[in-house]
Amino acid sequence: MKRTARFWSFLVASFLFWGFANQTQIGWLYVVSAILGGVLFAGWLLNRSTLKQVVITRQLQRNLDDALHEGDDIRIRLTLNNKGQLPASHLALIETCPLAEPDSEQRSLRMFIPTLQESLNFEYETIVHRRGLYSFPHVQMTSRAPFGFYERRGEQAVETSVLVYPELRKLSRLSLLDEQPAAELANPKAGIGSEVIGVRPYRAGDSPRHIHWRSVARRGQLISKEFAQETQPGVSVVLDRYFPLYPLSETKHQPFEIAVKSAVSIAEYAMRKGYPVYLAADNEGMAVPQGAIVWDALMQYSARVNPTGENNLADVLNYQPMQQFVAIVMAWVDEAIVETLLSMAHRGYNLLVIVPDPSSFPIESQQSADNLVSILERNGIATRLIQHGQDWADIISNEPELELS
Amino acid sequence: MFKFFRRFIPESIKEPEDSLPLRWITGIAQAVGALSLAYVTAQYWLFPIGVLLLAFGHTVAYRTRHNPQKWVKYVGFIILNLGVCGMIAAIASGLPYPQAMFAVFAMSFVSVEVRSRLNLYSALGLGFVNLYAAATLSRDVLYGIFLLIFIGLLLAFLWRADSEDGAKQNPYILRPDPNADSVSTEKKSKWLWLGFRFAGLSLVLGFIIFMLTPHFASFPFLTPISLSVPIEASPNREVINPAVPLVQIEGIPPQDQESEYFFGFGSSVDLSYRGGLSDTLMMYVSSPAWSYWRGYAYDTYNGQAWYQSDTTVDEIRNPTESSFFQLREDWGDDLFVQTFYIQQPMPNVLWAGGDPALVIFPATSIGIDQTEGIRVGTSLEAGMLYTVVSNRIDFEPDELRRDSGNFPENITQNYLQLPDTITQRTRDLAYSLTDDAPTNYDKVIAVRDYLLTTLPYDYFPPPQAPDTDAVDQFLFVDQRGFCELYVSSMVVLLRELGIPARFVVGYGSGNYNAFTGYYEVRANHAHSWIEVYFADYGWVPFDPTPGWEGDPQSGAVQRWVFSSLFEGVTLPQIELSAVASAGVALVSVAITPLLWLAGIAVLIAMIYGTWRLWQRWSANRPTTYHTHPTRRKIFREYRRAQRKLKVRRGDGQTVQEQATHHPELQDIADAVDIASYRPAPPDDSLLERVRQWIGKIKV
Repeated sequence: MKRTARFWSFLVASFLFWGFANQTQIGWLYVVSAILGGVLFAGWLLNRSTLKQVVITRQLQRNLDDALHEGDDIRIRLTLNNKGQLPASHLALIETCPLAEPDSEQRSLRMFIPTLQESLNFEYETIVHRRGLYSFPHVQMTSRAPFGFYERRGEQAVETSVLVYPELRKLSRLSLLDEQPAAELANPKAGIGSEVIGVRPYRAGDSPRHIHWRSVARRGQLISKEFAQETQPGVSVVLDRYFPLYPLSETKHQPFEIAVKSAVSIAEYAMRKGYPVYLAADNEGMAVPQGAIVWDALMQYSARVNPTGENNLADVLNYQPMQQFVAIVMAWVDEAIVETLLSMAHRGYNLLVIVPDPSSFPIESQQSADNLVSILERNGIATRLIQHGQDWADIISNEPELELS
Repeated sequence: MFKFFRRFIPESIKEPEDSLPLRWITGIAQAVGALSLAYVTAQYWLFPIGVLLLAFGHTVAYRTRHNPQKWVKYVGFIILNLGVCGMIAAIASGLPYPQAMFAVFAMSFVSVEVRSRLNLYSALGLGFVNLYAAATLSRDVLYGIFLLIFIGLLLAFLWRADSEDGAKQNPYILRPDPNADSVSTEKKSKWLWLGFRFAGLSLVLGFIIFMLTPHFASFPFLTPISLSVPIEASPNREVINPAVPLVQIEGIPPQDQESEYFFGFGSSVDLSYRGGLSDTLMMYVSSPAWSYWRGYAYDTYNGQAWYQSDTTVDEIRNPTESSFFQLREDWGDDLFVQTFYIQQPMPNVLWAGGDPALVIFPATSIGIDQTEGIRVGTSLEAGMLYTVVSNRIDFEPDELRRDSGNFPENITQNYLQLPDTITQRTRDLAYSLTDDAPTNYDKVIAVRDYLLTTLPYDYFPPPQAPDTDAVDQFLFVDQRGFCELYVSSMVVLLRELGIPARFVVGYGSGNYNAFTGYYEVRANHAHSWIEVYFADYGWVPFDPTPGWEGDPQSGAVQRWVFSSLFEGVTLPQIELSAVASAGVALVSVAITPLLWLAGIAVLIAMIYGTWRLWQRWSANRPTTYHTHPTRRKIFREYRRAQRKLKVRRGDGQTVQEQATHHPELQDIADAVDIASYRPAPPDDSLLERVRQWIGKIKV
């Protein structure tokens, strides 16, 4: 609680009147002095309960079944209930919305409640700025009630956590996979090997030839055979977690964020095309899901993953199992990785390297990816250079135009 | 200096204030201040005039808040000076409470300058000043209503200001849905409950503070000062306004009031008088210490009445012509200040508690009679005020018991006198009552207690029989009576025992009103008591009348609601007598030059202000063509040229624009420009040339 200038003015006036009364022996001046003092005391007593009696709840106005992605709209409702016997007044609230873009109006919402008798609602809408797991900070409250003699500040915890998935762009094509022979791609059967290891309910896209008719007859529904042998080529999506400048800020305009979005979109494309997708990344602080990744696991991981300060991409590529197709999404430019990539290319892996150019992002880095990209391309490794502000999904989808020399 | 302080004031409250509700609240609060002052001074016309001026001032201020007009400042300055002059005129014409009038008018006039939030705060402050002035003059509890209304409005202002500020500073304002059932009785009752709770808490806590706060009085740091302006004042002027800054501007008493002293209030006390006194309020006394208000004493008893054997008065003339009369060279450390507010015509006696050391009274001289009564040259009139600073009379019984009893000769000559009418049984009673009393003090107490406990009080004892001693009849025949008979008896009995004593008249303390802080002294508080002389301590009061204070020495210099509970506990006092003496002496010496200096300063300020106004007016005066004869003539010639050409200048056309259509006028138009705009006026040669050019115009 802070005493305001108004408090000191009244206090001084009270003492002044007492002094005048003392000098003149005029009883009314003692009365004036005492009433001013009484007003200050009463203000103090009533100010004490002002913040305690207000209870805030927060609701996210979104269907819980719908996944929340970066870039989605979200409506948030604050409800203020006065649980006290007396009306509250002159409340100033600051609601910090971590989902909103930093420095935006919705990021820090200042609101004022002249009077609060029973309940009030406040709704606002914002665009989710960035992926991540968010907890709303405490609502900051200030009250000068009832007459501005004291300023009481407080916080109220309104527990609200939100997991925001990264932005998902559906790629129209991906040269890494689309340039493979059709025979290798079309393998519409449940499972990826040739050995039948069991049965499972039929899914759309399963080949009718793999329907297990005996089970169908027994259960009365379509049942497909499941195969185990992993002979079908899979896709490894390698996410480079090395980003030495992280966290710069809460903005999404950083190479690592582009890397995460790119990785997720590539994985989605591969899954859409029927490839088993394997995620590979540095396990520092957060283990990568093992085996062929399912969609939910991919989104959970990609929503939470953060970069590290350790450059372990070469280790990841050398020591983690890789599939036939490897999409490497880098967050930082490290030309030392060229050797590893060339080695992989020589070993027969089909590679696609995605490189956001750090120098084009609003970060304090002059490091350009041009040299790395030119080396890789000279050596026949497909590479996509993403500049800040460009449509990264479009760049990943499309072949770079060949320079005619 | 104001600029220095203004830098600490937030910029936001210096901005023009657009809020009408805040202005309304301020205006109403100021009106309450004016009403309170009008009520307590009974000058009811002040209120409507003040309200009209406030309405005008606030309207002008609101309309010009974004573009302040200079004329407002000039008019305000002139009106304020006129107000000061009006106040002086009011003093001269005898209008009561000229300062109250000035306070109301000053508050109203300056409302034309109330443009910002800061100004609104100042306006509320001026309202409070009016309320403060009213407090110094108020004698009844109705003032409390004004006070509560004003504080209520002040709080409403703060509430509203906070609401508006909050709305300004925050982009989102959350209000209840107007379509919702927001005006239900239940919700309304919540607000009522909040209001009652705050008001109740404030009043209860305020009352507790009031009760627990010691109300003792220090020696005034700012002693009341009476500034005499060189005009003759009406007799019904106020004498001293005790309000801080304790300055009263007043006129010089008319010469015809400087008459001989007269000794009203009776030159004798006739003990054959019977009857009670009325309940008329005679005076208010503000004093931090309980006391009887002494007038003077009688020394001679003739069996039927008391009178003064020596009516000469020692005059104390103040060479500085200030209002301060120092009665003692050395002041004690145990002083208390009393201010008397006379409500009814009174004799020329200044009532005083304790042992007076300083009198503040607007006269060139006062007198001290032979019984230490303070006399002034004019009878006291309703509305007069004066202040007395006294030493407390406070002796312990043990001190008095140790008294040496070596009375000076002048005391034994004057205060052991007894007439022949004293009967033997009276003399015998004196000895019989004090057989066991070893000291004079014990004898005094024995006699006093006998009178206090044996004889009942009666306003209407049987008539005094002719040729009998009044004391004898009271003690042995009627055995009941009123205060004069008790006192007479005690004086006679003590004198018989050889103890000097005298008969004192004055007023009892009166009823203390804790809220107003005044002792309300009524006619039936008129009283008499006895003073006994102790050789080492001087005169000590005792009171043998039942129902009164038996030991009427001064109370402790403190006053709070629980004083009686803490009787005998003296709060630490600020001993300022030395500083105060020096201050009073300094003020006494410096008052005349200070007055002159203040007058000269005011005069210089007014001259400077007028000069500055003239300067500004001159600087802003438009330089037009008609301010100099040659300028006027040139323009007249220009009009003549127009007539000659039979053309007229269009409403939206300048002289030069017209000349583009009529080249014959070009030279003349240039001359008009020179005449109109050049600071130095044109000479006659230019006029002559213009005339020549006109002559050349061919129609």
